[in-house]
Amino acid sequence: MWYKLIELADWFGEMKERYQLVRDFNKAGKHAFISGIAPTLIEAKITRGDSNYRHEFSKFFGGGFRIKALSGKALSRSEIIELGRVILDNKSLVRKLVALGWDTLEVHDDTGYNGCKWPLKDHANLGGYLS
Amino acid sequence: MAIERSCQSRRVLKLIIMIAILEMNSKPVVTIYWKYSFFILLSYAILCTIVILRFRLKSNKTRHRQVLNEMKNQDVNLHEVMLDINNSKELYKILSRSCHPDKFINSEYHEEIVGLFKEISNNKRNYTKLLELKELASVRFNINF
Repeated sequence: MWYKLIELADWFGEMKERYQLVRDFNKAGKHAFISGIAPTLIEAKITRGDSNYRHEFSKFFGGGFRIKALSGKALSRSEIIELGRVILDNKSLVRKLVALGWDTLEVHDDTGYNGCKWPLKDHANLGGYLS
Repeated sequence: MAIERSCQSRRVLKLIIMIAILEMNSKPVVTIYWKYSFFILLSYAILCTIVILRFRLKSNKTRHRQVLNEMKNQDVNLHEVMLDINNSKELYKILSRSCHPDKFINSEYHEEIVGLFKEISNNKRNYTKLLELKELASVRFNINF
């Protein structure tokens, strides 16, 4: 019974960490936009994700980490891919995302209809730990 | 007296032997369960396997949890991530153009420049690392950007 209680407390702690990461990401995006480093405002939110990209730590209804670029125009495919690749090349961030229960990285703009998504477990470089 | 005693001891001995024979001939109570022994052994084996598996799974779970906690506790500087998103592409273009090995074919630094170019290509989207490499290139090889 105590073990279940600890698990429950862990679950709440994890949720807090997830929202903290999203909040920090949005704050950093806002800061970069306001200070003029970034020409577009970047915002992250939690989505359902793709069920094909699931791994053993995935959250049931919150496996997607969606990055929305508020550019005011439709981004080209190469721009979307470049944005996604920057996140995927940051190994520590990808590992943190995987550990906190995300399995899909989604990138899209605010006006266009196109977006890209990647399975995070393929980029976490875990040496076959997840399957 | 001595004859009486020996008779008594003989009687006692006879009694003990008779009891022993009777005990040997009578079926012990345990034999009633012999026909279920296979099932008892099977259930015992299943129980043992469950206990062993549970312990092994528990140890695996704790190992998973350790790895998970290590991954969770990694520090990620999200301001650097924003810099990577917005500035790394431009800087990479500048560096790859000015530090290209073809520019230093007959130079004494050619081998080192090849290594530097590899490093630049590997850290294409890491702005802070690219800045370090830019500094190195300007100091070590006198490249003006």
